[in-house]
Amino acid sequence: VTSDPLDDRLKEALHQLAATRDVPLTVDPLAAVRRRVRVRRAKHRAPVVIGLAAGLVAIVVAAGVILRDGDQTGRLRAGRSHRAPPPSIYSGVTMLDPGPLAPRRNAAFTWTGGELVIWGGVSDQFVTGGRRPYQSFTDGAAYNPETEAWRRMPAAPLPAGDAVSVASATTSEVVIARGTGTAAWSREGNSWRALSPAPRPVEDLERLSDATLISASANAMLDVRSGRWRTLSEPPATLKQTHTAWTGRDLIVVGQSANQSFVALSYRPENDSWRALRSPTALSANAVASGWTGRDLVAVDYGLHAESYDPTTDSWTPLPQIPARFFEWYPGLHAEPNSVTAFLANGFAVVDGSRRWTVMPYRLLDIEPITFGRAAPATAPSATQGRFFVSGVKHDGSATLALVDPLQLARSTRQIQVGVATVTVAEGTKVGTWTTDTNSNRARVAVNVATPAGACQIGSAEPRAPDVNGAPSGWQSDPTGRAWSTHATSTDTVDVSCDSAATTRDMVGHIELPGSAP
Amino acid sequence: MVEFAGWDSRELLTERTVEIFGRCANRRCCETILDVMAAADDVEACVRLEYERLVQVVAVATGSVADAQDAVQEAFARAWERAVRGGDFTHLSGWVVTVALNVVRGGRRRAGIEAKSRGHVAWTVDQLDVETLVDLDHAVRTLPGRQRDVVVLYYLLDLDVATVAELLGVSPGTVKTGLSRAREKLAHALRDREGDPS
Repeated sequence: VTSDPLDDRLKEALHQLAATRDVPLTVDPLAAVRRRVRVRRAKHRAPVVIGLAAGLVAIVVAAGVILRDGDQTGRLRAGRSHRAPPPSIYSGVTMLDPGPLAPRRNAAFTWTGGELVIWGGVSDQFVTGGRRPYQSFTDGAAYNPETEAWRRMPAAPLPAGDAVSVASATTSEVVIARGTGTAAWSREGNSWRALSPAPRPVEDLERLSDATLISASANAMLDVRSGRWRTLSEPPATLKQTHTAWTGRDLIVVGQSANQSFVALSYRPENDSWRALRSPTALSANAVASGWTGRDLVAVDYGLHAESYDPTTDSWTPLPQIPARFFEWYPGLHAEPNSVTAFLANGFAVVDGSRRWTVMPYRLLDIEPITFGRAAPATAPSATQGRFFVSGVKHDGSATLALVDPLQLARSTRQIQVGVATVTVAEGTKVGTWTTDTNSNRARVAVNVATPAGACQIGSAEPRAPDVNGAPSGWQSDPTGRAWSTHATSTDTVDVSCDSAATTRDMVGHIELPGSAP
Repeated sequence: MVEFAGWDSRELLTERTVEIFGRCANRRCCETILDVMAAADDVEACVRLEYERLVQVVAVATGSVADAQDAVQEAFARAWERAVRGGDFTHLSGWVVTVALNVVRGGRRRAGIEAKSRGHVAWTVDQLDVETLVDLDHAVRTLPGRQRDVVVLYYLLDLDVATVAELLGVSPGTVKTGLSRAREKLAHALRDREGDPS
């Protein structure tokens, strides 16, 4: 259909026709729309009200059972606390079709500007928990969020194996590497082009331009057009577990040196030169994860310390320690210009402009908690700044994919993760300050909340060494009834103290402990 | 030094709102890609800025301003819910009009009323003669439903074929075919009065 004089006349005539429709503004349209929203919500809420009534009956019956058993000291058995129904949709989370691929880790997971591409990876005990045999994947697929459709990629000229798969997108292709094997997938042709092997295994891959990619682990640059790698000058230190960020002029590389210290380097392609950068003050080199916000590199370590590096001033700035359980599995990190999201063992934490972390349970993303032996979810940017894709594994072992707006989720969530405790807060509750209190014997994270019924502090503590310090027990209250605590696991305690005994009792009823998971 | 102050979500929200309305401060304000961060606020802003125009557009297809008002309010309410749930819109005005047209059609189907039998228009303009507008009005309202939707989205919302196809969930080819057929019928209304043989 092309524009022509008739089209123009039609358009003009139709606009005139529309202008003849006098719209009486006797009703405030915004008020009318709001009224309809309320009516629609009330309709949707009706089944929930019925469900709540049924739940209330169940709680009354359960309370009767507890009293009948002679438990009159405020003790509840751990694992019997109230569990909120698993929600399907949260504000800030859009669950997407996870696609045709089997769940996996260490896969190439990247955004091309129009599609999310997943290729390779492995399925091992870190993914399946030992439920299925090991498998190394050489398949891939691309997801278009506009059409909500997946398309499979053809067989790639890349090897199978344990090596991590990494990817970087140019305008027309996605370059994927596994080990030293490298190939380019054409988005338009859905076909592969084999490239020369890299001089060393490729574990990171940054796009310098449409024609050039760079890998710190391979210490080489790839000319995408010719498909050939060129080795860089030798860096001042050889690093393991490297993480990289491209500033637009320099490649920042952080990693673990031979003596296991945290080292930061910078490589400038224009003169093929390396220089050492300042080191962070608190970060260890142990299990570091990092992300690039567009102006800072933010990194977290195994001890949940977090710092950000500003390349323009060559300086590190500490962020508050992430208020989550220690002894976490390898953290994951995703940075956007306005937020940083850290993926931990029991939950994920979002820091916003107020430098305040909010820790939330994985169930908000329909992902199974990452206990020891689990892989952190994979993330990739999306078309919209501030939102990103998250792929993980559900409780049933299947793959899950979500589009997340971390700031909106952190602002609106009604579930928070305090150590090992998952807390469902009442509507209208304000989540206040999070703290981490560490001494030589134990570490305790706590959060202050102001509920409509009163103020509470919820804490969760663990010993500094992963030894056994007790058997799980029921909740115990102090003589006032305002402070309750429990050995939630063999190593962790959870405590709640509120303004009144009634508020504490209600709050305890909204805490789930690991044993209460289905 | 990290300027975390720049990360403040409220500031971002304000910036986005300024960005959105700075870019389209006229009646096309809603024809922008909306971000979920400000989506609910954007829907609210678009109700204020676009309500009248969208009612007029829908009324061209339905013939009834009252029906169009009802349908556009309902469509905005659904958009609001969708925004709060984190859904996004590549074209909010187009989305609202598409939903409103479906709402009208659904309501009339349930009521067993034909669209073309409804509506009374008080003609208030005379740039084109009233007879031509009456003929055009009749021609639009006697178009098959899908063609009418295509005409409204393409000519009145100035959307391109690809966006119309996306909103209606059909292929661009289907949109082009519908547009071609509708154009032929509507052209008669103009030619008959204007004596243009083209």
